[in-house]
Amino acid sequence: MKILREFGQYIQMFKGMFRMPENRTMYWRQFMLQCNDIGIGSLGIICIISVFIGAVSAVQTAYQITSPLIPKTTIAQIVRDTVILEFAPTLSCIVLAGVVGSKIASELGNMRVSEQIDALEIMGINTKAYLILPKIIAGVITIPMLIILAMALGIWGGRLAGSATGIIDTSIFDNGLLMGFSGYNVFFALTKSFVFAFLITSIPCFYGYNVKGGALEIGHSSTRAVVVSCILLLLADYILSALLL
Amino acid sequence: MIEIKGLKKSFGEKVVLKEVNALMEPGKCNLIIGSSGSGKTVLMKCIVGLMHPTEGEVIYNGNNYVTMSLEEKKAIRKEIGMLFQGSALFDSQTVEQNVVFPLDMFTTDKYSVKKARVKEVLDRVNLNEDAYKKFPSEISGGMQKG
Repeated sequence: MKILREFGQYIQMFKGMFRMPENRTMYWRQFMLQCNDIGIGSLGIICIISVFIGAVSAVQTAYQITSPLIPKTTIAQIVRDTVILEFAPTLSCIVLAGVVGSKIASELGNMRVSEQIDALEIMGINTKAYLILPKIIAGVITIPMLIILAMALGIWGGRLAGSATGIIDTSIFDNGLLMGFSGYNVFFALTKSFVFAFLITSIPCFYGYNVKGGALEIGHSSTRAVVVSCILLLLADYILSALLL
Repeated sequence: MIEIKGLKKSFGEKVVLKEVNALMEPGKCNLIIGSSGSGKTVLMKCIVGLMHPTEGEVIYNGNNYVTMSLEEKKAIRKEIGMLFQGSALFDSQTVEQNVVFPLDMFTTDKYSVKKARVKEVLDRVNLNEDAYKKFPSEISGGMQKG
């Protein structure tokens, strides 16, 4: 019952969000601020995990391919496809659910508890449109960009690890990357990243905006936002894979 | 003029306000007094529209605020000022940015006009220019209330 009630409240959150802004410049400023917070703010962690994911993927793939009959270019192909299809969009978004999700939920929760949202309402500002919508739009725009970067860095990480450990020469790796490449995989990964971006921004917004209580409840809502985001993200990953692949 | 008729507010089983009636006439100062937890803040939030009453009416100049559309409510809310218990200042903005925020949102005045207005209102509460660039956490509770 509680899940259904929360789902209903989540859907209702979108009602009243799409209204004419009181001041376009202020909304634009808020949107750009969120793009900076979500996009630029997560750049470092995305770069680090992408390179290591690609590197680990290359080393472990090489470890499992023992037959001399399998060409070494296969390692590059496997790294490319696993990074593009799964590691870059899913793993990066799980990390982002923690980084961005907890930040959004605690920020909005603190604003709710300290009556800042009430103050905005009193001024006649549509708080859902001013506080939530820019976060969701900024997430949906910047997170797929981060995923594209994660794909590139992941493959580069695999290439780097392959040559550094002597598993595969860079020229063989580059040849492997071009073999049997399907553009649909990139389309699929980007479709996933748009869905994931929506989930990891809207769910924390919902939990943060509806916090009741004090500091303790902000912590609870932040944790809950991250947990629910991760679970729904994995569920969406499965559904999209079943539907689109 | 604000008229409150048969206002009731409950949270689940707990009834906080029951049959509250009041008339607030223009030019008069009204005081709401009650013991801790008696529902003063809930009443205020129902009057300004931050909470939806379970029953009853809040009438602003003959119009029922409870049943108004969001756009109609917004027009009335712009006329309301409220001092919150916890100051409700935006943590991420300086004192000056906090004061100029409604001007940025609702006016198209030039920066110099807004700055003059900020100076005027902050002078009125004895906050000098040193405090303008400070964040709410860097000033005292009394200054925040001001």
